[in-house]
This record gives sequence, C-alpha cells and structure tokens, in this order.
Amino acid sequence: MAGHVNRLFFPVIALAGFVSAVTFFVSAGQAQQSTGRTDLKQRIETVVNEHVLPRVRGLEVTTSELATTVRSACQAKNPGRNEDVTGKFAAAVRAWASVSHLNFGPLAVEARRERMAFLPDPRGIVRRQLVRLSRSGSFEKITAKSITEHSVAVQGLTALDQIPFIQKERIRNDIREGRIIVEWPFLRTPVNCPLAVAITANTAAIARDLRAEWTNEKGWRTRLLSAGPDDPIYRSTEEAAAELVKALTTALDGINKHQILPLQNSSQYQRPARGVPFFKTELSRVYLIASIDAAIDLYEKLNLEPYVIKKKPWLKTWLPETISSLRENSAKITYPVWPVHVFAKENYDHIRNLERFTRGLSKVVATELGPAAGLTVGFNQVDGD
Amino acid sequence: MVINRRDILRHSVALSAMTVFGAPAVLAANQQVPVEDGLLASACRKKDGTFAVVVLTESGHIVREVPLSGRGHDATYHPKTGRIVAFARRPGNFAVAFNAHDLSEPTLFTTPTSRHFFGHGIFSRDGRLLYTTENDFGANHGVIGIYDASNTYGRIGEFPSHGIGPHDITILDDDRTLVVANGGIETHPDFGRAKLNLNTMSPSLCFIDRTTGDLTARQKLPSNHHHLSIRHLAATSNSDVWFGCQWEGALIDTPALIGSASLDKEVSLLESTTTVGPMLRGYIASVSISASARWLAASAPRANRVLIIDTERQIIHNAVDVADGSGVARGRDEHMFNITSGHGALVSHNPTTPLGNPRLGEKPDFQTAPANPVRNFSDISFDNHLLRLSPPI
Repeated sequence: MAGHVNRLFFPVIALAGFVSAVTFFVSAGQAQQSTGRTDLKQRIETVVNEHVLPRVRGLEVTTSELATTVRSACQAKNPGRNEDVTGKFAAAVRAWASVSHLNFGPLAVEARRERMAFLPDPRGIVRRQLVRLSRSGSFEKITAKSITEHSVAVQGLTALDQIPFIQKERIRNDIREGRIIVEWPFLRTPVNCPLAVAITANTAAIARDLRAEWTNEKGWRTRLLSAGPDDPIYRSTEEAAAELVKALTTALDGINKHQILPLQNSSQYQRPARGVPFFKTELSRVYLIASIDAAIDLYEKLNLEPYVIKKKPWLKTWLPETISSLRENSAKITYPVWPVHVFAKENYDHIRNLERFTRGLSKVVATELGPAAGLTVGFNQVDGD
Repeated sequence: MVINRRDILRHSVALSAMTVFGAPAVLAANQQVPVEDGLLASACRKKDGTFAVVVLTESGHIVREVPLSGRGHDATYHPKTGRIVAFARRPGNFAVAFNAHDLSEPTLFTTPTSRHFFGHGIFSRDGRLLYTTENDFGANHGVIGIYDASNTYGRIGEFPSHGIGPHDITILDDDRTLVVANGGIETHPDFGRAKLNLNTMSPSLCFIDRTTGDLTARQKLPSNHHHLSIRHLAATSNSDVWFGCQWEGALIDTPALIGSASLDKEVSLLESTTTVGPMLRGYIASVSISASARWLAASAPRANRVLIIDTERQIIHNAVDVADGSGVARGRDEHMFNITSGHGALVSHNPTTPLGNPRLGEKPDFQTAPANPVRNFSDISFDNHLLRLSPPI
C-alpha cells in the first residue's frame, strides 16, 4: 500500500518540489533584480550629487566670475587686468571641460552645448563667423541679449578663444613679442570689448540656467533619482543609469576623436593639427586634462567594475592601468605655441597611448561593464538620423 | 553568368562579395539557407569599425556584404531589376549600387561637390530613374537629385524639394508623385552634423510631380510643432503616408512623433492618452507599413522600443522591447515585421500574436513585452534602416 501511495503521490511531490524550486529561483531572481535596482539607484545618486552637481555649480561660478572680470576690465580699460581675465577664462574652460559630456537634459536644449562652446570645429567655423560678424560692423553694437540672435559659433567660450586673433594686422606685433596668453590682447582692442562682454554674459547666463534646471525642485536631478513608470522620460532606474553610461562613452569617444586624433596625426606625420580646442589661448592642454579627469571621475562614480570583475578577471588589472595611463600620458603632452600647429614627434607615444586607452575604455564600458549591469548604449541611440 | 538568388540558396555556396574597390572577400560559408526566406538589406558597422551594407535572410544568414567607405544610412531596392542602392549617411556624398541576386561588381557614384546625400532615395516604378534627397548647401535648400539607374548612375538633373533638409523620400502607387519629408533642419557640411536653424525650422511633407518637379501639395505641421522634424516615411497602396519624426525642442515637451497625411488630407498626429513622446526620447528612427497596411512599425531606439500602430483604429497597439532597435521592414506574411538593432539582433514580430509576458509599462494605452530575436549577430551593429527585398508579399 505504502509503495502504491508513494507511486501515486510521487508525481505530486515531484511537482510540488518543482514548483518550490521555480518559486525559489523566481524569488531569488526578483530579489537579485531588486538589489540590482537599489544598487543602480545608489550609483545614480552618487553620480548626480558628487559628479554632476559640483561641476554645474563650478561652471556657474567660473563663468560668472569671468563675465564680471571682463566687464570691469573693459570699463576700466585697464590692460593690467588682462592676466585676471586670462586666469578666469582658463578656469571657465576647465569647468566647461568637466561638464560638456553631460549632453542630455538641461544641456541638450536650446543648443546650449553649442552656444557654450562650438566644438568640434575642424574647419574653423568660429573664426569665419567672427570675421563675418566683424565685417558687418556688429562688434560695437552687440549686447548680451543680441548675441543670442547671431550664429551659435560666436556665442561661447570658443569665440573668446578666437576674438583676439581675427584682426591679424592689429595684433601681429603682440603675437611676435611674446606668449599670447600673457598678452591676451582683446582688451586692448576696444572694438572687441563689447563682444567679449556679450559672450561672457551669455555663457554665464547659460551656466546659470543649466545649474537651475539640474537643481530646481522638478529638475533633472529629481528626474534621474525618481525614475520610474510615472516619469515621462526615464521609465525605470535602468533607463536613468543608462543615460549616465552613455554620457561616459560619449565623453571618451569625444576626447578620442576631437582632442587626441588631430594630435596623433600631427605628431606622426608632422602635419598641422586642425581644430584643437582652445589652441590659440594655449588652453588646449588644460581642456584635455580636465576632460579626461571628468570622464575618469564619472567612470569611478558609476563604479561598474564589480558587475564584471568576477567574470572577466583580466579587467581587474586592465582597468586601473588604463586609468593611470590616461592621467599620466595626458600630463606629458607638450603643445606647440600658436601660430605653430605641428606637434613634436616626442609626443607621439603619449598621444598614441591616450588614443588607445580612451578608445579601449569606451569599448569596455559599452560592451562589458554596461551590459553586465544591464545597461546598454546602442549604435543608433547616440546620434540618430 | 547570372547567379540568381535561388541558385545561391540551393547550392549554399561560399559567396564572395566584390568590394567597392574590386577586392573580393569571402562572406558566408556553407550555410544552409531556407529557400522560403525573404531577403533583407541594411547598412551596418562591423566589429572592426568598418562599414558595410549586408544582404541577409529573414532567418539570419548573411548572403552578401558590400563594404562602404563610410557610414551608410538607408538603401532602396527595385524588384524588377534586382538593384539595391545604399546611401551614405549625411553629410556623406557617396552611394553604392549593386545587384541583390548576383555577384556583379558594385557601382560607386557620388553627388556633385556642391551637394550631399541625406541618406535616402527611391526608384521610379520602371527602375530607370533614381531620385535622391540632397542638400544644396550653398543655397541652403533641399533638392531631389535624378540619376540614370539604367546605366552607370550618371546624374541627369534635379528639382527643388520645396523645403530645407529633405530626408526620406517615397513614391506613391501612381508612379508620378514623390513624397518628400522636408525635415526643416538646416545643415552644412562645414559644420558636420550640427543643426543650424532650430529656432526657425519649418518642416513639411511635400508631394511633388516627378515629371515636372512641381509641388502638388504641401502638408505642414501645426505652428506650435515647428520643432518636430518629419524624417521617415511609409506609404500605403491607397496613398496614405505615415511618418515618424524627431523633436528638436525640450524633451519634456515632446509631442506625438507619429502621424499621417495624404495629398488631400492634412497632417494628423497620433495622439495618445499618455505622454508617449518624452518616453520615446523625442525620436522615431524608422517606420514601415505591413503588407496588410493594417500595422505600422515605428522604432524608438533611444527608448529601446518598437511601437506597433494600428492604422485603422489610429492607436498604439502594443510595443516590443528591442535594445537599440532601429531598422524595421515588413515581414514574411501580411502582418509581420522584421526588426534589427544596433546590438546585432534580428527580430521577427507579428502584431497579431498576443505578447508573451506583457507588462503595463505604458499604462493604460498599450502593452509592451520583450522581443525574441531570430538571431543575434555578435560582430554587426545594424544601422538606422532595414529594407525588405524579396519575395514580394
């Protein structure tokens, strides 16, 4: 009888066991997913609070200080304050480099990114638009308000990089006499002051709007942190986190393509480099280092390594070596002083390492770290048409 | 000797492709390909970073690959001649024509130096002429380039697109009316892919008589939607034209991104009770109409979703999750679609089949569920568009 009962009940017991096992695995899976979500949410919070907000605040402060300094220097017509302006300009460029990769949300509206700095610019559009503006006689009349009606190429920090140089005859002697960073001459060419005041006021206004739209009550900080089915844009924590991963790969790809490749070709083939950001004011190196620092900081704050290290042990050594290499090599590049455009051959190894490691890190983030955390960045998502 | 598709499939030979520059490359070796499969084509990026256009079956076997010198975008196909033309992505100026059913050498042709392609084109019904959307960037207006498709794709003329930034183009069943999505966005190759006139853009859908270049009708969006760039088109046999848009304003303000119009019917946007536009991140990458004309597939890669629209009821029917899903093309029966993704997935989706494990993520309008790929290619990122070549349904 017992044997008979056992035979009868065996399928029931087996089914019950199967159901229990399935329930266990489903529950475990749900728990893991829930843990994963909590984990991602913490990462988003860390990135927003410790990476994004300090940087947008820094941009607001530095652009505001630049605007104030330029305005007062122009009013005083005091060439002695050129160095103040130069220092404030460098700080604003550095701050912009650390924000420009956050190309979503507040930075992606009203062409703010292009208005803040028209990059990349391999064909010298900023210079051409400034020349056009100069010839139209608009320099003297321009204001912080009216500049927004002109080309985005003349509205931002990249225009400030160029305006000392568009009147070549007037400043040729200044350039020959010494380092242009010290002799930053636009304050000694009164025709340029209205434009400089307008540009710096404009960039300060953009930075102010940017900070406000990140930090106000219903701003992008809140949006990212409260991602879920009720948010019209980020329907899940994963979507919000994927936006940050996309910002990281976009940052690395941008550094690679627009800041390093022109240097590599120049150094390797001894050709002039074109379109290197902030080259004329000798802030290219500052811009590069700040861009790389920002990308590394975002990478570290995202902290995606734990998702993949166990499965890909080689990354345990490769990732820290890559980060170190990016820092070391970017610090070792020497930039030529304008009007020389050719990078010395001695730079080549450093530039090549930077090229290789920015490309490699971007690929590892997109194909290993991101997917391991359930976050993917697609080919068609980044720059669709 | 002409090798037709059936020969290729029956004998399962190792195929070689002639590159744009004439060097052969071995592609698919000894693969058994089901003869009933339809053929698809898509531009893609390969693992080594190079670009190509591939011809593949619906079951996921690549039967031909033609390398491209830069990133491609869309392609067009003529069923009688078997010719495919793949176009460079804007602001590229090259196109590659080749035969889908033999291994003859591709023909490379370009725009004049004062023009560039916008990535789309369409054959006339007889296959003799090819019409392409182009940018006359010196004059800042769009043009329709005309190429002699019966020969070596020499350029034989152009006429205005009647707007700025023409993108997709299609032809109605009357074989006379071209429909052009004038996206309204000014670009210039000197500025790369930068958009130069977002404050003043004025998109429109233009119906043009291809025999004269005259504008037959222009359907415009409501004035408060001037940031809504009409990009991609799908025409039905009764000359309704469905379109997908991208929004150039603030993401949170994104309106409906899908709509329809015709020669004599004004633009109608597909409204929804939930705010779908922001969820789709303001971007529809590609649209395709099913053979039955009942369903429209609209891909939203930034939202990792492909929406299925019920064109009769004018509502969103459901959605499938496809990470970076972008290419959509009609499938093997009257309702089905094929979908490709930037992650290399090829998906087959039938809107009439109930979704497996649906969730109400987009409540209460429609359900969404994960897609089941036919195949995942680990070494290919499919680009924006997918084209169905054969067999005709």
